[in-house]
Amino acid sequence: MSIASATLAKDSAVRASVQRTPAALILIGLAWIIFAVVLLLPLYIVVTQGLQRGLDVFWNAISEPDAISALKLTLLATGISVPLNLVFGVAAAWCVTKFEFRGKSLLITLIDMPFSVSPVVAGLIYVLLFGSQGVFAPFLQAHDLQIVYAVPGIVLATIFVTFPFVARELIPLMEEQGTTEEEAARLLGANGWQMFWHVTLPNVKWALIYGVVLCTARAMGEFGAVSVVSGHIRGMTNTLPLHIEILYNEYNIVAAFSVAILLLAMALVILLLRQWSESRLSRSLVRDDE
Amino acid sequence: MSIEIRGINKHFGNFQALKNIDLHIRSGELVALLGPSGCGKTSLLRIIAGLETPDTGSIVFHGEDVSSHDVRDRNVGFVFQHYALFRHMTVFDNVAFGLRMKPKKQRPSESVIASKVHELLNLVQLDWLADRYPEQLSGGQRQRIALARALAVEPKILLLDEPFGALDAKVRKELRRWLARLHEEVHLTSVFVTHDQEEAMEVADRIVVMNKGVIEQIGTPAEVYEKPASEFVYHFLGDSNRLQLAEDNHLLFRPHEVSLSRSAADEHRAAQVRDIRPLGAITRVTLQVDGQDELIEAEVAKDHGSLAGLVRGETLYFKPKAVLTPSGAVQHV
Repeated sequence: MSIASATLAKDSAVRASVQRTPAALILIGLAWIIFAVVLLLPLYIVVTQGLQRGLDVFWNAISEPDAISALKLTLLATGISVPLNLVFGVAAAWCVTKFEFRGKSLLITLIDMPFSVSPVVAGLIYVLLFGSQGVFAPFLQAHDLQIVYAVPGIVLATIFVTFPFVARELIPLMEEQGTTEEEAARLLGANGWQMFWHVTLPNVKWALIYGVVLCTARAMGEFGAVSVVSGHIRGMTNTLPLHIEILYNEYNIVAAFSVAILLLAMALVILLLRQWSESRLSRSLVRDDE
Repeated sequence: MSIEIRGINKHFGNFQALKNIDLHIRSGELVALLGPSGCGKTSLLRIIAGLETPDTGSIVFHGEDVSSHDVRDRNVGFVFQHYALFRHMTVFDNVAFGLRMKPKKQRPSESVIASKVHELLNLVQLDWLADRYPEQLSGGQRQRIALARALAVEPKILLLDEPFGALDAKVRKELRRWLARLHEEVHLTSVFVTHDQEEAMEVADRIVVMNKGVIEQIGTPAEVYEKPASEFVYHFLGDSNRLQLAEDNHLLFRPHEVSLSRSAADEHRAAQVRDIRPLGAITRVTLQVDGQDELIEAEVAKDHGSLAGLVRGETLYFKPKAVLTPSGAVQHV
């Protein structure tokens, strides 16, 4: 939000001196209308619905034990899947853009797969693999391990759907930047780690941060795949989005929208974190020594 | 430090970029690898640096076979065509990079690094740009920073890939002379790649003319110009005219080695004037000879007697003063 408003403020200052044609005015007006209808109106409704019975009701809805446990599970799944996908995404983008090898295009296609596969199918894949009729069922039962309809399944499903975000942000940028700066670093005596830390990483840091932001937002909001593997056990395997659905299906509209406000607030915090990190990282990351 | 290149072959897929390259570069020499794009000159430079691995052959620095040495251990300075400055670092940090990457035990203190960096920036006359970022610099400035960065680790060998290729003509001329002077001062063994024969002639001690993955000729600028080993070298080192004498017999000569006359003269051939171009100190006359489509160009001093009042369509008589003989040498006739 703050990015958008900052950009708009800057643009309007620039545009003030420019002659506006009627066509431009119509297009600007249309953009605002669409922005209002598609983004602002739903946000407004979520907030007013959640708060319609007052702050006490809102607070009760988000502080009851089931909601707290859903929040914890969402944070856990996000906290595990984002760092893993960060490491994976950087490694995959590095490998795909800095080296030539057989099967490279196949790998790029595979990285994209979670985007093209429906999240429900993704969830089903894990049920078929780890469920009670699944491929690994005998092994899991023998060792008394529960993956599907338990926390590990939710984490796995979240990792799967957020798999491509970081890599997808990095690959086009790293491809465009090429490898000459890395070669220059090698020629100047940098070892592999120094080259990565001092040259490659600073060059992609904004894309990386953006990828992590998208990945985090998606991990917190993921519904489909998690829904399939969760089993919807209240207080045990419910994440925030699943909790909202259950409340909504029980006609507990106010509570559903209250928890939705919570989820929305978390998304806003992530966006603000990104803004904050932009200004900080630009100073620190470059000068850091090993 | 001398460089010995022995029997280098390199394929990229089915394309053979280098065929059996042998080359000896003496210590302290400034050598140009000259050739059209795709001739393998850049691949050869990258192989010397260790950025590419040859299929066969070896690279020897001062008697030591470095073929299996990693890029980091060859201690060569390399200047990339598009400079490859680290875009997120200031000019100072770019130049300091090589020193800061040294293992802890060999790494100089920050104050030593700072004085070294300023010394180098003074050498390339850009000390006042230390706090700028690469994107704030002009092409010529970037080029000199890239050079300072390469020199920071005190390499024994300096390799430059099309060092002036991306610069405009005037800056290029200045930098060329500057590089030749710098080479006198720091006295490194230097190899640079170029497709510009004028650049090679002006800067290099010796020129290696390459074509389609092989070395066509190695020699001083005067040698390759006066005694080209092949028609390719002759063509590549300057403009040339082809005069068809018979079905399978032709003469090659340079536009400035033509004698012109308004009246029929001994051994001169008649031709029709198609175009007259004053180019400053010289004037270029384009001539059409009977029996060949290819036009002949002659370049003479702008006050040459034959030019007075000359108009298109007139008949002019010309004679090549020096031609390339089939044996290879340029013969003055």
